[in-house]
Amino acid sequence: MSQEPVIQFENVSRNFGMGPVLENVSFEVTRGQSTCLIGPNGGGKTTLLRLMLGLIRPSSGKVRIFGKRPSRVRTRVAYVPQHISFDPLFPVNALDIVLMGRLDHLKFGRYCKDCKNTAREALDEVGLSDSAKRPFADLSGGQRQRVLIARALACKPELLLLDEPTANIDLSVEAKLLETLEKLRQRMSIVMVSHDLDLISHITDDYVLCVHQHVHRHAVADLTGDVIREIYSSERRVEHEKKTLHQQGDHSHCDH
Amino acid sequence: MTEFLTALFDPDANFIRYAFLAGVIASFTFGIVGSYVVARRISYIAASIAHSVLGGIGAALYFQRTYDLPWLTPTVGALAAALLSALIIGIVSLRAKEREDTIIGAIWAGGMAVGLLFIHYTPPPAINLESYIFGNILFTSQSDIVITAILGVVVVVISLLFYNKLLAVCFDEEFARLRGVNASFYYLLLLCLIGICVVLLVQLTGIILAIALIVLPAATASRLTHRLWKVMVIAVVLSMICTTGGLMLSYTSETPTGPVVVLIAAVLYVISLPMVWLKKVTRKNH
Repeated sequence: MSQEPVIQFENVSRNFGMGPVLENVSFEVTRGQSTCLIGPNGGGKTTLLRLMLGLIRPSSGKVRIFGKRPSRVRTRVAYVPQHISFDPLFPVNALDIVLMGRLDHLKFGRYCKDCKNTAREALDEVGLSDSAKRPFADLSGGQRQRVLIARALACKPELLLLDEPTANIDLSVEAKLLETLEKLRQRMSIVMVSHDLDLISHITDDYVLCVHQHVHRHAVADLTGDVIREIYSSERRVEHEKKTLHQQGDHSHCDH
Repeated sequence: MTEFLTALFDPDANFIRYAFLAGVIASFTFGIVGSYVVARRISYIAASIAHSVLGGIGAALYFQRTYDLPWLTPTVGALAAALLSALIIGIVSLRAKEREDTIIGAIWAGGMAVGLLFIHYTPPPAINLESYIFGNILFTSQSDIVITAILGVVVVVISLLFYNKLLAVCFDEEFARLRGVNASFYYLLLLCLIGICVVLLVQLTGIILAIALIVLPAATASRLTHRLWKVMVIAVVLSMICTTGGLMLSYTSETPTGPVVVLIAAVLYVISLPMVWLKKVTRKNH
């Protein structure tokens, strides 16, 4: 039972006007597994996520989530977009946003008591139970990102997809986020897009998927400097090295 | 003030009472729909729909007089044009996001051009174009109030019944869709509500000033609170203050009502601007 595939891609290609963004992609993620999608910008990571969500269809090939078409199992999947794509001045508080995770359980257009409890539990899980009534506008970048994760958790998903959750977040907040994610991967499959190589070990100790028009599996243990150089542009590599230095206490390269 | 109150209760001055009632009833619509418009940042869509309404008014007047169709009033024409424009803008923006601004501009100017041409060819008596462009709340009739009330109830009931879904669609359309909500339908519904709201406003402030009363009270309210339903409540009250205050001031000073109403809304908004800053300062001091 534990080998039941959560995500299946069979010879999937996806074109956008000019040419293929993804070409002949095949891979499987089985139940209980979590993994990361890494690769350069424009390599097709987000396209891969959108295919899993059923927001776009493959040009050819087959995508199956829990053995079914993605659009038919949406309620079992939750998605965490990047917080920077939201209007920070939108008039809502943290709880309002997390409640949106229960949108498919509205009764006569209202959220029931159970929905509110689930939302509060989700906020608690990301360590924001004290901030339920705080306006979205007053939250820091890291807190906003955690609110979006709580919203996804309120969906009670079996599969959690995250698009660069640590982009634009400072390192201390990132540590808290990682703690949360590590806890979550015990009970659901997580697929996370990330440029941040430090993060990978917290999500998976098995393999990552490198997305660059094609998808390759790399064992985490094999992610040596040479492999990383192959995957990333020089710009990204420098960023990563800076971050590692920063964590080691060398701040000579920092802007502040 | 007393002069206005005397007029309000004067049995012979129906027009003041009708204007007052129309303003108060329509305020519910402006406040609620305006809050969605400001939150979703689509005031330019509302402005485009408002201007395109002239096309409907012109067409209705032309066909009403040419083919003797008494039911085809300017309000019916305005409503049809507003809903049509809302749907066209909505569908184009859902299908091709990058073409949204183009279609908004086309509907805006195209609607007005159609209206002006129809009015040019409409048989006499001459049409007072100014009353449509700048509005005149003092011309409100009993049947206008009934229409305002019916459309107002439709807008309020739909907005409140689908509050949570509309809120979710405005905040994050994609996420709402992933939770099984027909996000495109609710977005189009919201644009249609804006259309209805605009039609009610044309009578009050006219086409050009309509956008002010949709946006300003809600924008003022959203500086005072951070939850959509509270923004709505405050915006409704502010709209009532604007319409009633404007009517009162314009009656006593014998100036046109529409501009006075809009100016009050603008002044309230300007006053609200430093509020956020003040709030921050007081919070820091605590």
